[in-house]
Amino acid sequence: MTPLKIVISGPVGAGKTTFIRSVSQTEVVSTEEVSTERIGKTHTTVALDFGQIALGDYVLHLFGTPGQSRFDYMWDVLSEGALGLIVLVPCDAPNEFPQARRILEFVISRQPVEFIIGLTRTDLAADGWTAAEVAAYFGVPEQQVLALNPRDAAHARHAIHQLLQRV
Amino acid sequence: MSKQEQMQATLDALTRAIPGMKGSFLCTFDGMPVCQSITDPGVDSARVAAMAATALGVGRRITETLSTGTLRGIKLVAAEGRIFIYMVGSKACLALVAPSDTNVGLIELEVADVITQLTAIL
Repeated sequence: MTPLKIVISGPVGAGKTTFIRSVSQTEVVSTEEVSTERIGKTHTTVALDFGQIALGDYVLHLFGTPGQSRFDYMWDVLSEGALGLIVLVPCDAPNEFPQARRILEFVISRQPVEFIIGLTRTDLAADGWTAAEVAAYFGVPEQQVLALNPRDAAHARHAIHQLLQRV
Repeated sequence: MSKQEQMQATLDALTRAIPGMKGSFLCTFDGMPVCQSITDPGVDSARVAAMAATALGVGRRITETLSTGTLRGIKLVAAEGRIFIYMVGSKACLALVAPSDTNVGLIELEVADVITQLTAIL
């Protein structure tokens, strides 16, 4: 059976590479390089992450994108033929919300894919934005926003499951 | 001369040395432009920088996975031009955008020197 393609995107530092590394059942191909900008971590994805997971009868190919706008051609390339999109958004960095929206609109305007928003860092920030607030910002129903910890494989699997329900 | 001036001079000399070169670009591994010498104003340096980083990033994973040693460079052969992207030490990428009938041997010779010079500057 043909593998299904899911794209994981979102602004820098949202947890895309971490998400794929947590949930992939095969060794993840990453393309991280030393970041010359201050982004709160030492490395950043310059091309893609690739992982695989089997869910029920389906084999899913997971593609993570870079977060910076200078790599927007990768949002385009990686979204081609995708079944669905998970946009990860850090709840404690509302300054990154416009970038998340930019990515979402960029992808959806080119191909109408189903998406969910994964709200990350809710375990790390005491006063981060809630799922309801983020849903209001993006103009989507609250059910389309899921709080998740990208380090937790069960959370990540659940998010993918929720996305597949929408497809 | 500042480092910036030295790098600029090195890239300018390279662009002049190869007939018909559209530009030579130095960028970081995470796709930020450092320096460029452009003869074709239509070329977007910021774009080239990001794409060179992406191409080398993918290239390095392929050579690592297939155990062919350290990646030195990538060549893109297209109908109307050639793009060469090289590793410069362990921090930077050098990209050249040249015409399709370009003298590849000359490019290899010039680039070898340029990489030595740029590595010393950086």
